[in-house]
Amino acid sequence: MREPQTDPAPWQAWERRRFSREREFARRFRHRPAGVVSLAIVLLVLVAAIIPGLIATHDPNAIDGAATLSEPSWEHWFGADRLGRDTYSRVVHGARTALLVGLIAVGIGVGVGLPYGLLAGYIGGRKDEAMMRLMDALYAYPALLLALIVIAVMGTGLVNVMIAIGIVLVPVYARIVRGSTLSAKQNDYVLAAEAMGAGTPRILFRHIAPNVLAPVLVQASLGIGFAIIWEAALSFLGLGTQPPDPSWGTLLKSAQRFLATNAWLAVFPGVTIVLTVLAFNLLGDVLRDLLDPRLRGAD
Amino acid sequence: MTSYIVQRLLATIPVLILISLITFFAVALLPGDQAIALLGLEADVRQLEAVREQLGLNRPVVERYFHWVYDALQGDLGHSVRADRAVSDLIAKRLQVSLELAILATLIALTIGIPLGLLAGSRPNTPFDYGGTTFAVLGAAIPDFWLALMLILAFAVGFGWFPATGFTPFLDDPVENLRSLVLPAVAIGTGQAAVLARQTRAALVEVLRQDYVRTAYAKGLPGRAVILRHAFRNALIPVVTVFGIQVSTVVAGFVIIESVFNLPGVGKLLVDSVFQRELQTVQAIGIMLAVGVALTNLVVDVSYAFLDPRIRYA
Repeated sequence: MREPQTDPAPWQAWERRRFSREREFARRFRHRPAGVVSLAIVLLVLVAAIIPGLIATHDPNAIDGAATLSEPSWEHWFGADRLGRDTYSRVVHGARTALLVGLIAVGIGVGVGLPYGLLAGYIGGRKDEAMMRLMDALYAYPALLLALIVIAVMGTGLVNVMIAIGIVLVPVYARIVRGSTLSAKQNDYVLAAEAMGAGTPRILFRHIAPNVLAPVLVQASLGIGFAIIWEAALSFLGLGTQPPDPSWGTLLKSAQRFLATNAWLAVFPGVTIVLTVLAFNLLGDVLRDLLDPRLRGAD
Repeated sequence: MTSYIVQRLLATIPVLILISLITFFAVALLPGDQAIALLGLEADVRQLEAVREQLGLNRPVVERYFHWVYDALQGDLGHSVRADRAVSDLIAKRLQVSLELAILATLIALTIGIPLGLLAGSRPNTPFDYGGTTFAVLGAAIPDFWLALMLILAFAVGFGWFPATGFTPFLDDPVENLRSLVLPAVAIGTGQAAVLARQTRAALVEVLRQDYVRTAYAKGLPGRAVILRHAFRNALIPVVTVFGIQVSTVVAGFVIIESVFNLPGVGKLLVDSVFQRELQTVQAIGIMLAVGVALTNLVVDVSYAFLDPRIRYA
């Protein structure tokens, strides 16, 4: 006896629509040179972070007395520091710190801000008001002050810097998610889920969350840029990554002493930070334009 | 308008309460012992107990919060154990440097950012616009402390026009005072100028599409008059909002930049206190700067009433 077959047509149509949407997105992305160049830089930083050995030319911590403070050359592309360590290789290895802080800080921001914003937006009323006033106050609190208070209490070091920047980012994502949830919860599919007796967590995470992810993704790209600058700033102050680990901030901190004689020690890591942050910011802008046309030209 | 201003003043009260809660409980509830932070892990138990007693850490946390707020309202921001001085004295000595720096940086941001935004917005899709937009995009990606290093490299080491580090008080030598603050102020102000330029451009482009601007042109008014008298004032409203938000970035700026230029301001005191884990000083500077930012935003909000007749006559 033949198995009764379900009609494959609706699924095929759904698959076709999904792929055509993705193809359309890729086509529109390819037509944005800023987006393509930014993505290329982001991918390069990603490769440097994951497999630094592939593009680094030296061991980042190898001391070479003969190369002390040497100028940029074929042997040392970005020159060498006072211990003769290759600056280019230290910049490449610093990408891991930068990206790790960016991803984990944004992860903390989204991890706390997303459920918080979903819940506030979904329950509404006075509870929402009270929850969001707390986020408004956190948002209005100068970010660096908050980060410095967290570091003062918990101590210096990379992990605490990630937590500090993550806490600073929480209200950013909570506010965005709450705003999108307010409009997403008006949709019929939420009403249908409620009518079928779905619990609040299921409605929030299965039905509403996927529909508020686009602005979160855009903000995540901008958030990584923000976190990279803050990690560099806090490490520059001596509060983040500790020597001898390479980080773009610590490279600039040690370069400050040699500014008058060996300026390139400060120039190359700085240019790397600018290019990386610029890439994440532009990528965020392009994604915003493509994913949410309502926000086009909003700022 | 009076009711609007009163409303804004009343709305600031819960913000101030929340700021005090965040500042206090961030220190009180995050993992970490203030006494160990001050004395180190090798400290004697009795010494630790004495410091806990001195700082009132043995009392319940809610009671400590109300004491802290009560004392802060009377100007008592705590006691620095290391410096053995009142924290308010430490701050008062350094406030002038930071205020001067913040004002100078803001002036630089306004004098670069707004004209550049106006120029770019009034001539969309011209080299002026592309130049202004490039400045805005780059300005947002350049860390102010790296810009500070590059400014030192060019104008202190290279041309020798300004000192690389250090500070001269205004009363000792006004010219030297200004010279010692120019580079730090430019380092902080450039990023702000970039944001203001971007916002001014966007707001102006939006306003120039409005009917009343078309009417002004139709009346035969010259372009300059249309932009400065009709469009600019309305474009200023969102710019003022962003300016309010930017105040907290200026605070962040002087905290970092004072350390780069070794300026004896509140920002440098804050960073030094974080290193020494002087939590009372960190808390005091935190609340003072956060309240300062909130009050500046209040002034910004009130200024809407003067800029926007819809608020004035509501």
